[in-house]
Amino acid sequence: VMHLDLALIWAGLLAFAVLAYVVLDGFDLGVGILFPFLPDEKQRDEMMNSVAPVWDGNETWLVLGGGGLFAVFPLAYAIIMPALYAPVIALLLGLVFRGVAFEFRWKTRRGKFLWDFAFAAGSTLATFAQGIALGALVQGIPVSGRAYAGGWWDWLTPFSIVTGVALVFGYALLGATWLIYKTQGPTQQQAYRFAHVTGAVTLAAIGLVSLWTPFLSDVFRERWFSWPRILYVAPVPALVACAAYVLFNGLRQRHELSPFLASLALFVLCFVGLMISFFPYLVPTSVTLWQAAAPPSSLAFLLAGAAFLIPVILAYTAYSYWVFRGKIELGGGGYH
Amino acid sequence: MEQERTRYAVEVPKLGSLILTHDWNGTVRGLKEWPAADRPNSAIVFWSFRVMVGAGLAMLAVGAWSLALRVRRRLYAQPWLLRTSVALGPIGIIAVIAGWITTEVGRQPYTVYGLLRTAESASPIEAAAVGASLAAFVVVYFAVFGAGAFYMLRLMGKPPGASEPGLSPGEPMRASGLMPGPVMGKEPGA
Repeated sequence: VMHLDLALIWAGLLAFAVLAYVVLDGFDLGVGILFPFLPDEKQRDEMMNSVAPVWDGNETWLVLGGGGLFAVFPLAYAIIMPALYAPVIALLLGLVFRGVAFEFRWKTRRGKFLWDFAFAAGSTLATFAQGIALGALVQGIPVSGRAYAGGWWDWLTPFSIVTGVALVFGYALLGATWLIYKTQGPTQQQAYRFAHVTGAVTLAAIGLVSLWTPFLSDVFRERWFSWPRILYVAPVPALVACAAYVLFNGLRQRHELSPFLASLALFVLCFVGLMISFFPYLVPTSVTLWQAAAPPSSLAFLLAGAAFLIPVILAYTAYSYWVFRGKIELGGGGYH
Repeated sequence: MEQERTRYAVEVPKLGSLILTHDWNGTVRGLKEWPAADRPNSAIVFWSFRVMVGAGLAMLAVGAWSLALRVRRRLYAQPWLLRTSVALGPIGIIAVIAGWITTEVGRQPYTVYGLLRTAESASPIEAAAVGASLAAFVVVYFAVFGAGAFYMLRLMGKPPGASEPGLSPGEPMRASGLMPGPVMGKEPGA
């Protein structure tokens, strides 16, 4: 019988869950981030309707990622969560406000502006907090023994603020290109403009963070700049350039789907870049995935559940997107 | 509580032994056999357990009452049943929370019974940070549930119509909650 590295399989599954969360919730958070820039009420209805059927399903992956980390890599969970306590709490509170806004916004006329604000501010706060959490993880978490050894403001640094702002623009790009795909008329025209601006800023931020990261740790620098590794990792920035070309070419030629796909590709490539920097660490550069893993019996037991659950989630997610395919239409009688 | 005894006790012999040790003559060691540092707060558990069981019995009683009226075809003609049902609206959540308190307080001073004490399982986060996040959650939940309760009460203030309206204009279809079919009058996604 071939020996299965269950910890490695689980690391792959959780990486997939986190990536799925980032690209899926990314575009619906991005729609919330763009909300303040489209004051027209009908257009706001249209924006919200474009993500209303799928946003809560998108957040399933956050639960799977967080719950999976807790169950499968308890040591990493116990170190990362105290280190990122403040941004994680801010992320959750932001998600609470934007989540209820989907329901409450339709229950009131006088108070609608409040839920518009809750949707926009909650989306932006949740995204900024995610970006800060990512930056804080990349820049390194002090560990002593089996516990977090830093203070509770350690997450706040110039680097983490840059990654926070970068993610706000990145999700706004996903949201804008999603709106290009799902809407038409004036909303779509404005989405093209948003995509130009957010696309340019996102690419600049990817460049800045990519150049900054190798200076944070010798491990990262060795991964990206040592010979001959530089040959293996060179395709990542090359593909980022390709995705950038497809994005801006699609925007210029008024394509409807290719800008969204190119934006997704940018996020996938950034994620691959992170994995190149991190592997095999879950807490760079102190705890590897094998050190953090739960006992093999737990990993096998949970894997049996995941082997059933993940295909089911993928199937109903695909079905949901299929049911709600096509353009959003404005006008009386709701969503046609 | 200081006297470590139960007033007005109703005792069923042997049943506790059977449930806890699966043996009719098994020995259930009393709380007083453990050192005081290893005991939960017995007053909280005493009352939360009784609130939970009482709430459960009250729900069973209302169920039996309504069934009796149903059999006699008087289910909708008894205003006191309807008033009682409205009054008992929150009883389910009261039972759940009382049961939860019983479990959590009853397990003290352990997080994992017999293995890991609560004091040992606390995270290294400073108390000020935990307090700040707790305060933030309290504020947010009061705001969100306050608004939710307001909208629900307003909805309950309206009498139900013969045919419930579907979605109001502009409102989105969702993957959860409302069914899209009858509202659209078209094929999904058309």
